[in-house]
Amino acid sequence: MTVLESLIAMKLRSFTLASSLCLVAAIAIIVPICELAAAPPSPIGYIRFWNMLPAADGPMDLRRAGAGPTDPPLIGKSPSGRYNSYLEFSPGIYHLALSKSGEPEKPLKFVDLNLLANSYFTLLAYPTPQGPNLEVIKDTNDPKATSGTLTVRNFFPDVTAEVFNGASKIVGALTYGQSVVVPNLPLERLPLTIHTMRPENVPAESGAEADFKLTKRATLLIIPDAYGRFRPRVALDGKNL
Amino acid sequence: MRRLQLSHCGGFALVITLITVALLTIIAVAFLASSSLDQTTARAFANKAKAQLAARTAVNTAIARLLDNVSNYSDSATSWEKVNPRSGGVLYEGTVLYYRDESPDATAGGIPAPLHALPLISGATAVSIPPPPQSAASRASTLAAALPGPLDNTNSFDLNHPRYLKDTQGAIGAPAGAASRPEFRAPWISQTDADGKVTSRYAYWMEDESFKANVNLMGVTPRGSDTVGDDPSEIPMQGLLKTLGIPNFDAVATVIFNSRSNFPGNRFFEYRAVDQAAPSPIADNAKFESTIFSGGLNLSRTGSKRINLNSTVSTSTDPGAIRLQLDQIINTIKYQSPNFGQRFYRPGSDKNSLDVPASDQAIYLNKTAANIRDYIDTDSQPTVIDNDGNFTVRIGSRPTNCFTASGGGTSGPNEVIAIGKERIPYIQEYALRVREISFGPRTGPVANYTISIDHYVEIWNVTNNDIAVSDLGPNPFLLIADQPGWDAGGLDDIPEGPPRDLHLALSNAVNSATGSPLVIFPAGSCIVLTTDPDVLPALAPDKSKVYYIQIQPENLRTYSGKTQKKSGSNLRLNMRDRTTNSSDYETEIALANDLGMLESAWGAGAIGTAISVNIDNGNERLDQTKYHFRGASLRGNSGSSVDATTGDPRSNAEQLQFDLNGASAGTDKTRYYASGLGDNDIPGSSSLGAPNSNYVDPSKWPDYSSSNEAAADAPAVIANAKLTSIGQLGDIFDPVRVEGDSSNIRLSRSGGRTFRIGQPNFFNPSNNPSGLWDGDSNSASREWTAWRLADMFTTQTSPAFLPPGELEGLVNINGAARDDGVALKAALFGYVFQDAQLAGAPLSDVAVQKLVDEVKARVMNDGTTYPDFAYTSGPIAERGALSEMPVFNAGTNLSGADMATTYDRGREELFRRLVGLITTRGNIFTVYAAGQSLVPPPGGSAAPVVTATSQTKVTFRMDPKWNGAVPSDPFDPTSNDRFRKPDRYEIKILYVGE
Repeated sequence: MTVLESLIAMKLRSFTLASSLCLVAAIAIIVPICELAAAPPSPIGYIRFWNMLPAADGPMDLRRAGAGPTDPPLIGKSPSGRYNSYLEFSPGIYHLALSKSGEPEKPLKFVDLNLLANSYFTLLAYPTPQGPNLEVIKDTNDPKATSGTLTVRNFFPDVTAEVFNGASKIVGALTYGQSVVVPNLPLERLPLTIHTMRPENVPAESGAEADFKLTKRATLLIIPDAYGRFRPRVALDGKNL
Repeated sequence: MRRLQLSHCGGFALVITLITVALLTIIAVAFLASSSLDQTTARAFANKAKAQLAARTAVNTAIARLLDNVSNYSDSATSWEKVNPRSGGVLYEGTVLYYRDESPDATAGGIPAPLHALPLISGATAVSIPPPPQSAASRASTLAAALPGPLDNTNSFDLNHPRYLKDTQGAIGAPAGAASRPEFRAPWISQTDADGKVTSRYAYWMEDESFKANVNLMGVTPRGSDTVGDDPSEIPMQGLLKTLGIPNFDAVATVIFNSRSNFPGNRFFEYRAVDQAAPSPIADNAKFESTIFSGGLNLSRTGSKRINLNSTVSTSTDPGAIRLQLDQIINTIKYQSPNFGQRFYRPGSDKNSLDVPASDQAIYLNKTAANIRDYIDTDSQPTVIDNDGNFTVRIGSRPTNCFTASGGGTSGPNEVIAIGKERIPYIQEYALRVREISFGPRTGPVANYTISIDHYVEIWNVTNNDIAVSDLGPNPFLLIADQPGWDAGGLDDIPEGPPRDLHLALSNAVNSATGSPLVIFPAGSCIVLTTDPDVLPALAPDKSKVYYIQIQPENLRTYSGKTQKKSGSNLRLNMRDRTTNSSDYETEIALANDLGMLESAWGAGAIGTAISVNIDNGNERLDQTKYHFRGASLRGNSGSSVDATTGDPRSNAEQLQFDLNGASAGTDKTRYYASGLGDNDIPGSSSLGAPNSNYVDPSKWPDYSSSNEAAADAPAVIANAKLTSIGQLGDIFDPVRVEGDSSNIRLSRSGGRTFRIGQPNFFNPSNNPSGLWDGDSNSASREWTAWRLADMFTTQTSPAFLPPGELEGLVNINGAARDDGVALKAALFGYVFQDAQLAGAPLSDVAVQKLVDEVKARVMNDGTTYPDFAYTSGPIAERGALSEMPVFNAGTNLSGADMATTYDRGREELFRRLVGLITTRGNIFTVYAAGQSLVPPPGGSAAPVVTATSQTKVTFRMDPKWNGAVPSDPFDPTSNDRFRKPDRYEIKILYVGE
């Protein structure tokens, strides 16, 4: 190798080094930008809280178990019969407690919930002979499902209800506190008619609609409305509107 | 000397003897002559007496026969018939009594009883009228069978024979303009003695005086546009005189009228007194067309005294008293027309099937009764009837919610079965305006929000009268209840339910443009009630029609708080959907007062897409003009039914069944129809502040509504006063309904049709597709035509000097063929339409003639000229059936306006102002009778020798009489005692003469 060849080789190495440094620098700048631009949304899960306990129990809070009394509840002051929509929460393990509003120090029930990203859960508080219960219900839709699923829950005191789709009875004689799952429903807007016999032997009927085009799971809540009337409500499961 | 003396004495004796003999002879001859004369005179008197007795027999027989038929067959009518010849010439012309074996109260099985006809002349026998259709020839043949054969001088007597040479009138008279005096013949009826020898004979011919105009009762004021037509004094005498061709008929009428006033009681005692003041004698020439005695029975076809609605309905707030009134109406209809409730809905093409179950018929009758009551009573409080099995009347408490389904659900049987149609403004459209006053931040754990929620409610006074707020009872208010809640993720949610219900007093409403208080809901016009102090022009462009009612306290309008509800990372405040996703149909809008509901538009607040308050686009949406509005307007039936249509404002929440969400109900869903009134559609599909006629198809809707805002265009009439004509029943809303596109009749609204009383009920696919009658006089559907109500009910009472159940001066329309309807024409003389759509249009002579021609054709069952009459039989059986004249709903003959596109009240006006003057059977008849004394024919001749003839004319009245108390109103509806037929008819002789 000659000196000239040696010099040329040196220059080439310097150029290569400089080019490499520039490239590294560029990558160092661009990649974060690209990463920033293409960043996936923060993983979140969805929880909703339904208070189906008797009105006499008063409004309820859903709190992190062990949180201080002054810490705000996850969902607070939920009155009887309130069927909240989903709220967004970060994935993780949640230790949750049900308590009466204003009585955080007296939890009524505890549950654990492993909230995954894009998963949906309902926390359902309802009465049992043993006292209030808090149940974790997974609402996440199965993307492979080819039919709809309707969950019917009766929390209308002293009411036994039947549910029809057109002339077809899909739920019969559902008593207070009972729930039933109706699978294999068509993925379309499904008109529902709910019949019951109110006290004084007055028949009552309400119509509702579960839209299985929007979601593959829905819940029919048989509850009194704010006036105490027989007005079942439909909530879509696994869908945050 | 002695010889001379003797001779002298003998001559004297002879003379004396001769004189004596002569005198005796004279005496004997005179005696014999006198004896013979006496014998002849006595025989003549005897013959005359025999003839008179025969004539009296004729009169008695005629009266007895008529009495017998009228007593036994209450469903009867008289008409004038001209029976064509069996062998040349007119066989018979005169009055015929038509009657059915049983009256309509016996039609529960559907089919009316057989029809018979009896010419009211001697020798006639009743014949059965075969079911229609009949050709003119077969009809004539049927009637001809009632008579013994062709009538001529050998077997009959012309009761209208000339009284003197060249007499053109005869005893009975001749129609004006007739070429010759008509013969009115009746067969002779022979009478025999104990040996079977014919000793006398009689003939009678009888006519109904109600065929004629009554010169004793007529007035002289042309009908004009103000007369209601409830008294014969409204029939102008000029109408009679003009038709008779009397010159200066106006002046002559006045002279006769004034002359009449000089008579005691303002009445002529006998007909010829008409000539007392007339410039030239007219009585003899006018006697065929006019009379001084005429009248009709104010009885229904069942024979019972018509129920006077003005006596049964009264204003009340006592539920028991109201129930009693309703039951009187209902039981009347049920008794008089047992299947009237079959009108409610007709599920198939068979117009005569008895498909409607008894329970639904009961609901229909309650709805009908409530509408009738609310039309008449003077308040504006709708009659509301509970669906509690007992049909309890609901009144006396301030409503907290709209009407709902029984048991409180969103579907199922309506909690009330009837809401009477009152003179109130009706809710038409609703829009919700939500302002985003502040919201932020967009992201993060919590956002602060402030929103205001305002309501726009369009109210339409569909009636042709202004409605004062003060008319709407104690403390009227707009109720907005059960608003949807708002989801703030469990932080400051805005709840649904009673705390947010609004009771907005109408007394607090002030005009948004001027600040003046709301006093009047103008006739036929819309206004908008809003809680928005700053009216959005895009929603309600004309501020002068908007009235603001402040929501108090303000925190029921403006809401502030925190929300943690998110979609993705963006915070929001979401309207909470309830029974269907992303929408809400449960907001309740009503007008009410302290006594109860005025107008309930349950589901009026249909919100087709849920609202989300947010700032996703980075900006607060402060007072946006294209956001946060949802609305709805009312739809009625829709679908393929011929008369189905949508959007009639006069239907309210009176379906048998509610289906608020109604996924399968199509446009029959109970909620107001959301016509795309959404984010970007204001005011595209909204007509807030203007009548909502954009869904009404006049070709399908016989009584459509107009988008014009004026009393003249208002589609409803509610009198709130006593009826002046039974024809006003045609103003009353008919709860009848048809299937909509849900194919569920129980979801259907009745729409805005009124009872077709004064226009045809006959089904006609081109001009009356929703007609409920198949046009057959013998079909079941004929007994539930709407105009049957005009036979059951009345507004008229008998004058004090007349027995109950009678009315003077009525014109029998079945006599139109007798003289080309002179009396009917007189009743319409100078008539001017008063209805707003036809106002000022005179009823022309051509129009009157058209009506008369149609009446004549109907009486003659002329299906050739008028196909609508092809399946009729017998004459017009009841006054309401005049409604079937085609001129009332087709063509321009009547008023110059196209009756096919005229409101019901315009089409029905002529009937309404005429029905109180007409009848189909009179109760005053005249018998023209002849009797002859006969001796056996000499030498075996065939014809007996007439030894004397007697003629008489007797006018008599049939007075219905009830044993015990005369049925009267109001009455106890738990018993049918009110519907008792007269126990007998008594005869009152009004006139006897030669």
